[in-house]
Amino acid sequence: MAEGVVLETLSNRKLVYLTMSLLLLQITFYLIGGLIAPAPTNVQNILGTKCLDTGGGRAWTKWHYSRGEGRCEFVDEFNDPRIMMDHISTNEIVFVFQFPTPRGGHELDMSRWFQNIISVLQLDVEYNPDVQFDDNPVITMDARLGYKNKHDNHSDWTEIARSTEIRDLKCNLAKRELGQPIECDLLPFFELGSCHHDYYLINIRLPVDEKRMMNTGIGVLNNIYMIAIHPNGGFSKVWLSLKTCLFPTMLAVLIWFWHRVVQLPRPSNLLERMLLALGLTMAFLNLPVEWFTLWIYMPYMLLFSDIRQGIFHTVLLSFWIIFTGEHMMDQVQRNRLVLYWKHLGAVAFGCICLFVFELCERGVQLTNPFYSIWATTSGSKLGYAFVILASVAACVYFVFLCVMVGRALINIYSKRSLLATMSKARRKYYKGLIYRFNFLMMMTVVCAAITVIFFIIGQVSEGQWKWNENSLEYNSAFLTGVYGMWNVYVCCLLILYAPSHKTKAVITGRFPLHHKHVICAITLCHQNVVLEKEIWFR
Amino acid sequence: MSGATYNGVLVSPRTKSENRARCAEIDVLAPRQRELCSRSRHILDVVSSGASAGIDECQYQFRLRRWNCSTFNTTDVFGKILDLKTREKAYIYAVSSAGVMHAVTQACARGTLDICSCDTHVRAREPEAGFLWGGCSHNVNFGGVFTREFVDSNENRRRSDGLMNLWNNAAGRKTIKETMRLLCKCHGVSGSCSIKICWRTMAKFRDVGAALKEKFNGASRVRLGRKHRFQPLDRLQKRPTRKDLVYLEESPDFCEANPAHGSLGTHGRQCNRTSYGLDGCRLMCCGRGYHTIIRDLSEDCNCKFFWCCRVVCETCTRIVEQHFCN
Repeated sequence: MAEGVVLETLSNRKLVYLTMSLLLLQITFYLIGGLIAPAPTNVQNILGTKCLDTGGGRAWTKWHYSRGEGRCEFVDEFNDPRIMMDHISTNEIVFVFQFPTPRGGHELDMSRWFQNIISVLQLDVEYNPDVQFDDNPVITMDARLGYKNKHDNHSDWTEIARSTEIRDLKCNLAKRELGQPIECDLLPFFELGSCHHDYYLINIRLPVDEKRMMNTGIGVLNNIYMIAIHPNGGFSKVWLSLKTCLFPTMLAVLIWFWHRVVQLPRPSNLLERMLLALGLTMAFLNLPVEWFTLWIYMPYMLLFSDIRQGIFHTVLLSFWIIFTGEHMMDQVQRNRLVLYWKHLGAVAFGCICLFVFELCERGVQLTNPFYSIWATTSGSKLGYAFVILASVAACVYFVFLCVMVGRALINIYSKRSLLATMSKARRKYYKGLIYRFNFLMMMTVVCAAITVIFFIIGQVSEGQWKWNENSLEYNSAFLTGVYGMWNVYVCCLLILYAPSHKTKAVITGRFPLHHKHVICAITLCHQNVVLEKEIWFR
Repeated sequence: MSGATYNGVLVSPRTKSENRARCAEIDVLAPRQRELCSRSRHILDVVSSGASAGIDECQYQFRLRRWNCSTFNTTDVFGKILDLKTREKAYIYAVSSAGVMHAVTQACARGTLDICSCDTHVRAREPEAGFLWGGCSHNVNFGGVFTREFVDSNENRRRSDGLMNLWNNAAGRKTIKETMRLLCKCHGVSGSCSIKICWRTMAKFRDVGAALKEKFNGASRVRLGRKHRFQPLDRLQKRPTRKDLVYLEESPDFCEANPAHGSLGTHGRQCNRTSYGLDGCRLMCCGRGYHTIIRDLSEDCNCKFFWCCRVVCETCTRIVEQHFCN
């Protein structure tokens, strides 16, 4: 680490310019989200139509749909006289959800810009003392999901998935009075990684089987609401344009950075390789693969983007550890990945936990969109186990990081007191080291703090949802702003911590060094050790 | 629904004129209501189901009071009670308006009502583009706007009772928005809550009715002040907010039958001997006393209910004491 980095050799004026322009860029990111983009997600609340499937039984022979030619016969409420007259049995009732719902007299259609669809169910259950309501009610659903496109016939629904799903109902039986609504938690329903088609259709049956106690203890179920959540088209457009702009920029910065490293008369060191890895993962995260979803059916996009983010987080966390380690100034020769095995182990363990969890949930959803690890008690225990393990790993990591940063800060203090006694070259070397470390610390803390603060504001503001639509979309601003901020952060690191051409000239020019130092600088022996020894000898 | 196509314009011109003819037949409707009615073939069913849900709710909430929201088989349903500008009238208007709004919102969520708009305007403005860019606004927004246009159109703003009805209608609609629940779903990497998606969902109508009953209990009596605005009776009283119910006259005691007030009286009403509340025999019977009848009551018991539509019950007889007002 004999050579300096750009950060040290940059004049104050240039540094101010750079900081200002990055700050401006940062503000632009927030404004793009806040002023141009709409809210990140749209929520459609769909009330299930109760279709009568007379003579159908439990078999899925045909599709039931509530709009269009050949639509089903339906009742609004279960107390409809038709149910009594025609002796409609439970298995002949199909809850139908056809979305998007029509607006303004037009049948709307889903756009591929919506990227993905998540859905949850909300049950409208009523208390009746005569009706069995189990302590831990379990609901069994025969669910079927299909799609249709614009130019298909009314009845041309194509199946995506069908499944029998068992979900635990968590309800709050506060008032045990006839006709009192029972509050139940939302049920996770399905997640589609791709919104490729125009119209979607869900059919649900709730088969009742007295012998197997199937659906006999769920109280009086009057209605089912399905909530379909998908990213807004406008937001996807803004987001994708942002990524499309950021990707080549990041790539250009990376190439510039690596070019500088390659130009050095020595092989790259660990920190530089780590910076390269960080830049590459950021570029990978920026890679606008989502464009392809507009033409190609890519149901694995949810999984893919989660994995992408996971990789970036892993590398970022590892980078912080290694950066602190390499600036420790404690006479230990590092520069090797193996020496950080404890810290990186914690990172890897946590990330692997989350990855396995991800595969358990989103991976299985590729074959069965109705699958949810949280649906059953045992599944949610497993889910919690993974999440807890990952959090433990995260805690261990942060302890490690804090210890390292603490040690580095202590070293900095002790070095500072010695600075005056050092020779000019050494002083410059240490000052540079301290400056570099402090600068990154400050930047990281600021970025992390901004992320956390905005995250908290977001959570709070979501909690106090307002009716009057304000012109600033806070959630979009948060997403684009934070995304842009980490891009700026990585960019900044790559630029400022790239090896500088100037330093060497300065050192060799103005301060004639000891012969050993020059050799050291060229042969890349760890100068720390040498300098330390000299101080010692004094 | 046979003639309507669903890929494109839902209501073809032919059905629109059919609707107009159908709506013109109903002479209770005001011109503005008739226009709104002709825009969709289902809207009238939805509105009437909402209004009757309002009546049901009123009867449920007032089942234990002297005035039990009794209805008559006439066009003005509630009878002469509507001639007085009382608390009861305030509740009736609020709950009806809320009922219609609830029903319209639900119909929009069900997708069977074709006039629900994408934004808050009743008139549709290119819903496709708006939906693609930023999604549609909550159904309850349309429900509110539609109800305001439909229910309020009959009221005369220049008269004090018209103003009171408008106020209470609006309070009923506001109560729907007030009682809405916030639901959230976490959506982030690996099940984390890095992105929380929240939305509002309408409460069950029972909860809306109960919230309005609370407002009935705390309703403010007002008088028509200067600038044609409501003012509290005296200065110490708090000004009513837009969410509160207001009334202009005190209610009669509803003890005796009085056709002029729409009161049936409490003669022969069942009361609760042990209660000190309004359903207790002391208050319910207005001090006239009560008589007790012991009878064998046979009723359904040990019912076994099978979702959705089958109930198997046994019949049991038990001896009950029932009290009725003299």
